Amino acid sequence: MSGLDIEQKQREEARWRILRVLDAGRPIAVSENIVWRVLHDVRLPLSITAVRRELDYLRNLGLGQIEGEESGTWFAKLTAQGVDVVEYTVEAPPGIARPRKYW
Amino acid sequence: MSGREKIAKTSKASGTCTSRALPDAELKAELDRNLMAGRLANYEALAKWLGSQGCKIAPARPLSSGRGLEQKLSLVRLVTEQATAVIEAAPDDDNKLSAALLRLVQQHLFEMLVDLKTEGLAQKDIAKIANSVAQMTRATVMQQKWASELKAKIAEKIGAAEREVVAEVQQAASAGGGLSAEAESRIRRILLEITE
Repeated sequence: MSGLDIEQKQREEARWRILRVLDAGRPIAVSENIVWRVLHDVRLPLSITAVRRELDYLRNLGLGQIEGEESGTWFAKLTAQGVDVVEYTVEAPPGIARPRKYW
Repeated sequence: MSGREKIAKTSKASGTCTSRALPDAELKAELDRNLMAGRLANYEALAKWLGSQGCKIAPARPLSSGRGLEQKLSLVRLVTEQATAVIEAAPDDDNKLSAALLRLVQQHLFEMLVDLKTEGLAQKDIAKIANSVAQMTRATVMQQKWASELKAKIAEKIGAAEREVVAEVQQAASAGGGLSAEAESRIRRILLEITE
């Protein structure tokens, strides 16, 4: 990493929070609008396009699935592996800012 | 907006970046070095260091974000439960439709509850709201389904009419002498059938 990349840190933070939102919405696939709204309300104001980019990243890691790509709105849900990351059962990939387990 | 701009904006907005007159680039470079060396492992350390540079950042900010996230996650869980309950209470024959409805009710209910700032609402009130949202969403989904079915039906009729007209014209051409009055009337009838 050349120098500090606060935006990268923000993306990693956003990915962790997206995983938490998808976990809260289980077993239903959560709309990208809900994800966007939650991030916005916790001062991680990503655009809808940026939300999609991170959802796609999580899918490529095998942590999430996306439905409704052919329609106007994306809906995402966690895979079993994604649930394991949220529940601290497995190691988190490096691109996700999961807080250290302190309990 | 870059991260640096955000820090600068935060500092300016709070009006607390007072004594230090470091150029942004120099401060950023120092911040980079400290973060990369792991000297600023948490928010408190970052706040302390920035404070020593003449920039104070509000300690309450990340805490309120954390609380805000937990509140929103609780709301997502709540709307998921409510949406599931109302859709299960009135299932559709079409499973695909039910799944789509479930996701839309979850989304609309969440948006409505966030906008209304509904802290303190009783569970039964939320259940009633969920039911209303489900009914409205169902109506919208049915209307969309009807519209797309209608579109498909019209497209099918146009396709059939096109085939019949082509057949009539080809028949007239092979017989020679152009379109007869009878063929013309048949074509007219075929075209009128589209709108029926």
